[in-house]
Parts: sequence; structure tokens; C-alpha cells
Amino acid sequence: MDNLFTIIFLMLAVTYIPRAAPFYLVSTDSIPPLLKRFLSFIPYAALGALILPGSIDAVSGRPEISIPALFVAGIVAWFNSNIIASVFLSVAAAFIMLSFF
Amino acid sequence: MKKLTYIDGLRAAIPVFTGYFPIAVTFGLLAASVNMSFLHTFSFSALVFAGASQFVALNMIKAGIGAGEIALAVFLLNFRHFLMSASISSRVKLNKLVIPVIAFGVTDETFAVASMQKRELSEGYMLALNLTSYSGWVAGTVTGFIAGDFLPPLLQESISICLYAMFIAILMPEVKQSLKAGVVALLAGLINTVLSYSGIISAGWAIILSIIAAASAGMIIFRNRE
Repeated sequence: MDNLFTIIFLMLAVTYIPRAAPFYLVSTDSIPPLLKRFLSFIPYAALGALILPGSIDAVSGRPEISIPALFVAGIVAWFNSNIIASVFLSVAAAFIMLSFF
Repeated sequence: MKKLTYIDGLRAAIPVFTGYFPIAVTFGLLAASVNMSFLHTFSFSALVFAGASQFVALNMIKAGIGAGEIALAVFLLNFRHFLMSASISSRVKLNKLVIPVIAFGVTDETFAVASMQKRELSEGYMLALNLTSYSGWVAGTVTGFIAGDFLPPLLQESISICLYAMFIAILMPEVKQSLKAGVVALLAGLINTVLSYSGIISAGWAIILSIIAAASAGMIIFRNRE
């Protein structure tokens, strides 16, 4: 099973390097304005790509439950920026729907 | 506005921890079910800390695929973190000694939480957020390996909505405040959906390209409005 540790250490390398490299390459003092602007759009773009299409299948194979439950999260977050409240109510909605359907 | 502290980081990590724990439990019990040792399972989560990739790797190991091919697949699947780390590193000055710890903890979820903070990020905040999230992942893995399938299936299924609900809850207030957040996010989501369903490129490439394309489009569309 030593082979398994080879895989684990290779995976450590290929996941850690992309995570760490930018901290050494990008220094907060000297970012070109254009790059800074590009980086400022990354959070929105990343969130969009993380939400779609994955969220449709959040409860595996049950889009008819995932979509309404996430709609609850969206509505709650729209009126109240407390993330924990949104998440809790969304999980509760999924739980209720899964109990009945 | 005051800088964020480690207390803020702990608080922000609650939904991430809650979402990670049950997924990691699943990883732990799957690893046990393919006869992986405790040490291997633990090392997987403790050293790699990469959600979906670990499940992909487990499947590939089970199918007898070689280490090089697994590493390449995982690299592509996680390369998006390069963009996320670049975005975080442009916002916070870190001590050289803590960089490795904080960088190791950059995930989709910790990035989403930290990047939408309006207040100034700090070392303490990043450490607390990333390490708490990490502890949820490792603790869940260990629990799953030892205790197996202990969560009631109904609860397990419901909790799987948690991280997506969190992403949406993080995005919503931004969308309410500015047009650019909604437009760029929607664009990225649509591009990723088209690329994912088209099947021409892998999931890793699809997400990287959609983030880069939507962020670039955002720069062009909102050029004159800042």
C-alpha cells in the first residue's frame, strides 16, 4: 500500500502548489491596476461557476427538491444577510420536502 | 471599518464546518469500504484537503488507474484555486510564516466566505476561518471511518444542500447591491453549465475557463462604472 502514499503526496503537491503560488507571486504593494481589477471580479465569477450547474444536483438526483430548497436560501438571504439563517432554513426546507416526497 | 478578527473568522466558518463534516463522513466511510487503512484515509483528508478531488481519486484508485493520471486529473480539478488565492493575496498582507498554513486552507468555500467580506481581511481571520473549516473536514473523515453510516439518511441528504445554500446566501447581498455582481456571476454560471453539459472539456477546465471568461467580460462591460 506504499503506492497509496505516493498518490497522496502527489495529490498534496498538485493541490497545494496552485493554492500557495499566488501568495508568493502577487504582492499587495505592486499589483498592476488592470490585474487588480481582474482579480476583483474573480469572487463573483467563482461563485457563479460554483453555483451553476452543480447546485441543481445538490441533493443528488433530486433537482425538484434542490431548486426549491436553494430558492429558500436565496429569498432569506435577500431580506437578511445572516448566512447561517439562510443555510439553516434551506436545509430545513430540504428536510421537510424529503420527508414528504 | 474595523479589521476582521479571528472571532469573525470562527463565526464565518460555522456554515463551512457544518457543510464539510457530513461530506467528510461520507469520504471516511467510502474509504473504509474499499479497505483503505485508517492512516491512509486520515492522511488523505489531512494532507490533501480537497473535497471533490478526494472522491474522484478514490474512484480512480478503485479502478486501478495510475498515480500520474490521478495527479493530473486532481491538478486540473483544483487549478481554480490558483485564481482564488491570487484574489485573496491581493487583499491581505501575510507574514511569511503563516502563508503556507493559510494557503493550504484555500478552498471554494473558505474563499467564497472571505472574498465577500467588505471589511479588511487579517491574518487572524484567515487562520481561524481556514483552520476551523479544515478541522471539520478532518474530524468528519475520522468519524466516518470509525462510526460508518451513523447519520440518518434523511438528515444526510438534507445537509447536502448546505454548501450550495451558503454560496447563494453569500452571493445574494452582493447582487442586491450591485449589478456587476449579478451579471458576472450569472455569466460564469451559464458558461460553466454550457461547458459542463457539452462534454467537450473536463469539469476542471470548464470551471477555470468560465471564471476567467466571466471575470474578463466583467472588466469590459463595467469598464466605465467604478
